[in-house]
Amino acid sequence: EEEDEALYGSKELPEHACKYCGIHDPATVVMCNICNKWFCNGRGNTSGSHIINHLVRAKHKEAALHRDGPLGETLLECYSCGARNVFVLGFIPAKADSVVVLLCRQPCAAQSSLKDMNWDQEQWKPLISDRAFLSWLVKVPSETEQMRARQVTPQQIGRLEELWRDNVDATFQDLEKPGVDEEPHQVLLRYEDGYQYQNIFGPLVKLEADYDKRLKESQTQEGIEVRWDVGLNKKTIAYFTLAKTDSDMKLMHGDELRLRYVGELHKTWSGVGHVIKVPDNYGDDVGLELKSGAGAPLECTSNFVVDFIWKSTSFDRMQLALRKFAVDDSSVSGYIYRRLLGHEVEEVLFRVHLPKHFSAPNLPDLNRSQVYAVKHALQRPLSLIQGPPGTGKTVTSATIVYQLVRQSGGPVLVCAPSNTAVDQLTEKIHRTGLKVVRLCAKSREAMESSVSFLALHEQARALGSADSELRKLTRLKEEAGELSAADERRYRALRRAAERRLLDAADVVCTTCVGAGDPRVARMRFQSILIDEGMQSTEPECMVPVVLGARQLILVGDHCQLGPVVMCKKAAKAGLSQSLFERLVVLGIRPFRLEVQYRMHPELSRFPSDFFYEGSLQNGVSAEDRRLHKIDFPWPRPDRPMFFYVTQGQEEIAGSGTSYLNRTEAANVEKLTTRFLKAGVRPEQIGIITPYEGQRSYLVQHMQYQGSLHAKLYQEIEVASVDAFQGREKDIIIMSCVRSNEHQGIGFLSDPRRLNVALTRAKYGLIVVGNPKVLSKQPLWNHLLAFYKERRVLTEGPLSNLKESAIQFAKPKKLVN
Amino acid sequence: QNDEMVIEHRRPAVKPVEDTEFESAFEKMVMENIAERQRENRPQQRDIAVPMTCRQTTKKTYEQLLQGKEGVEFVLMVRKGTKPQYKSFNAPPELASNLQQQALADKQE
Ligand SMILES: [Zn+2]
Ligand SMILES: [Zn+2]
Ligand SMILES: [Zn+2]
Repeated sequence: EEEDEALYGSKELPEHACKYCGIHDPATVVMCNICNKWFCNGRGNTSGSHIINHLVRAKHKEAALHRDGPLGETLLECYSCGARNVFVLGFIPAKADSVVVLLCRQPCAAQSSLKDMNWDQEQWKPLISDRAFLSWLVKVPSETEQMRARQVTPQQIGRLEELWRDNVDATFQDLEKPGVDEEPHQVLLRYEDGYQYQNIFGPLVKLEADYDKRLKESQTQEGIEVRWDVGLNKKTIAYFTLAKTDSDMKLMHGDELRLRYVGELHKTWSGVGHVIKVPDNYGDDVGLELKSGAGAPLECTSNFVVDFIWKSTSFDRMQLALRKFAVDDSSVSGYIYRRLLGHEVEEVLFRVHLPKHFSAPNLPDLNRSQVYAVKHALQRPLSLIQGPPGTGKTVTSATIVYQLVRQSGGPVLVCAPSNTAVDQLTEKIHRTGLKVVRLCAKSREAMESSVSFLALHEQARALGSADSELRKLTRLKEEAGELSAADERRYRALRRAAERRLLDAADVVCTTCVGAGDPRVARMRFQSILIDEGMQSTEPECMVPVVLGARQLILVGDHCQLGPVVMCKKAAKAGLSQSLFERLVVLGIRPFRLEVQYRMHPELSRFPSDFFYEGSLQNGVSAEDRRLHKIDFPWPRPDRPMFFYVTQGQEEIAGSGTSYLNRTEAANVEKLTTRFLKAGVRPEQIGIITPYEGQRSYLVQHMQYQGSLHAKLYQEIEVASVDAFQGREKDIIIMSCVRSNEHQGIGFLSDPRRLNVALTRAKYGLIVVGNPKVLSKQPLWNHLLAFYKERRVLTEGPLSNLKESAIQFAKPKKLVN
Repeated sequence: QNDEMVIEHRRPAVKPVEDTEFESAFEKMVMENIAERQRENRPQQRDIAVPMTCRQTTKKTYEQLLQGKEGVEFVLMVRKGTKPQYKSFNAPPELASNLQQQALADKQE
């Protein structure tokens, strides 16, 4: 026994010892076929076996058995198609023989010819059950053996996996080394000075950047088949399908990818391009427009590799802004500097000449609270405007910008974290007659939007037609695709000059927060800066525009809606996911709240108003305005276009063993949708919200195949996460809660801000599909359910005969985390 | 010498966050991978016939099946590249029970 202990403790372990706990009986270990590390099939102190822990956390999917194990050296793959993804592999027994065969669930185990071949198809079972490999495939180490092995906690496993992302050879011992696991400093409420501010935020930005880099660089995919095409702009486009490896990483328009040819029919080639099409309801293919199609192996279709390209630009810009804030006195006014740091400063008001009429030309007349918001913003060097859902935030922002330009002559800088939000604002500001320039990242220049004609590059091109030399070069470039080096230099210089003239003449420059770090804008100075959707950007992101000279800063947002997305958990925990807007509110700067909502049917706004906005939300639309005319739908209460559809779909064990799918909920969502479509609602009027990507893709599939109407109708319906709907609205929203089990992550449903966003997207009707028994354990949901019950719209039964439900709620538990 | 020591439950009463996170990551991975397969193009498939060569050993009588308390010898069919491989292993009783019923039915016929 002592020998044993010595063995586990030392580095003398055989190569096939479990990298977590050291167990090395060949019958109990499995090799990850991706990183060639071995893990045992015991679970120690965790809820899944070590090998499964590794596969899931590292997102590796292939495994091989040890040659000295009972089955001998075996790479687990489907007998029929060769698929090696252990998460879809299983086995079926023969009907009369003691034989089993490894088969993937889809399509091999489902093929109809199996029956004739004496296989007992119905008996398909996954290789992974209860989060461990089946014990006849890989033995589970005995309890004694596990006791003697190194005791690893789930936390240590998580950290070790994280270490491996940087250094594949890291060992358990490395976890103890100093520096490996140092926690970053927490963000503060108040800061001594800009240096301290930079010293706290700088490392957090770095953490997020490193995380992003690792994520992107680990996404290389091989064996890609390509279909070539040529775009209207004569550029070469490659279409291909990516295996979805990691849903944390959403491919977006404008992302950069590198495509490489590694086959033998053509010399090696690689080219970089921008994503112009992403997978959607219509198809899974990705479209990549190559920067240069020269030399691309257009005759080849297979043997390609796709790499994701990580770009440091946005993180560099944030770091630069933090530094500028610390060292450069002219980056912001002294007043703003002190307010942002949280120092005690007396509030000052600008002595401004307030206009008689606050509304701006060609924009809707403002209501009272909107007028006050404009006045509030114009008079203060720093102001927060809170715009609850549907309260006309964009119009108010555009009017503020209009009045600012009237007062100071501009230029005013207008930013928002997302391109969509910037485009919306740009469009509204343009309507007032101001000279607006929309600056896009180079990678997005090719993308169409409603305000394309306001984009700097488009305006420069239009302007260029007046300059004969630039016009000539532009045409040459567009026709030939490329210019000689000298011509290219000349072309760029001329274009830069044209862009500079446009920017200098602009009343308003609109760009994303990160876009404000673009050298073309960063050389300029802006006294007045407005940032919309302020709660959706991180502080360092917000600082990119702020340090361009802010003397008057207006943050528009709503801290009761979703905050910024921070992917690195460590950075998020340290406070990077708190927005500047939120911190300023905590510091005691009172946001001015817009109070009249024009989106929701009054019945729909009632709960959000009471629960999230202290009952302050008033309705600018009436029930009559929001009545669905000529739409026959069995609302349980005709005057209340909402209900909670009680769906007690037992979580069902899906083919994978312990995985569950809420098929019942999906089926109900399909029925509701079909009913609306049949009643004459158009697909684009409906939005379906569901928290998890898994349920999302299941729903999309399910509706198209099982729905009784034409698949095309269902394709046109947007099915997405809450986050994707933020800032937008639909006439009808159906929400599928999915959650039917307590073990599932609670992140989605327990965040009040996310619930607020989900409940406030619908204009005419809202239906929540879920299981009250489980949901009511959450205090927040308990409130919501009680509200539905009190409004007598907690219902169950078939759609043709909806009845009030008498279901009992659970006692709410205290919120964890 | 104390191989039979009493095993206490070492698992903490409250599941650590890492565990819960792992569990939902696992669910997500399984669901996504299955959904993914459903969408993928049908891969090349091969015939799956119960091999005649090992039929002798794999066809068992009802009695043989009943005797295997500790498990019954089974054959696992896998493929190494294009070559089929047959690997015998000790199947747990629940795997054999299926076959038992089948054999019983045959016997009664
Ligand atoms: Zn691995
Ligand atoms: Zn282990
Ligand atoms: Zn298969």
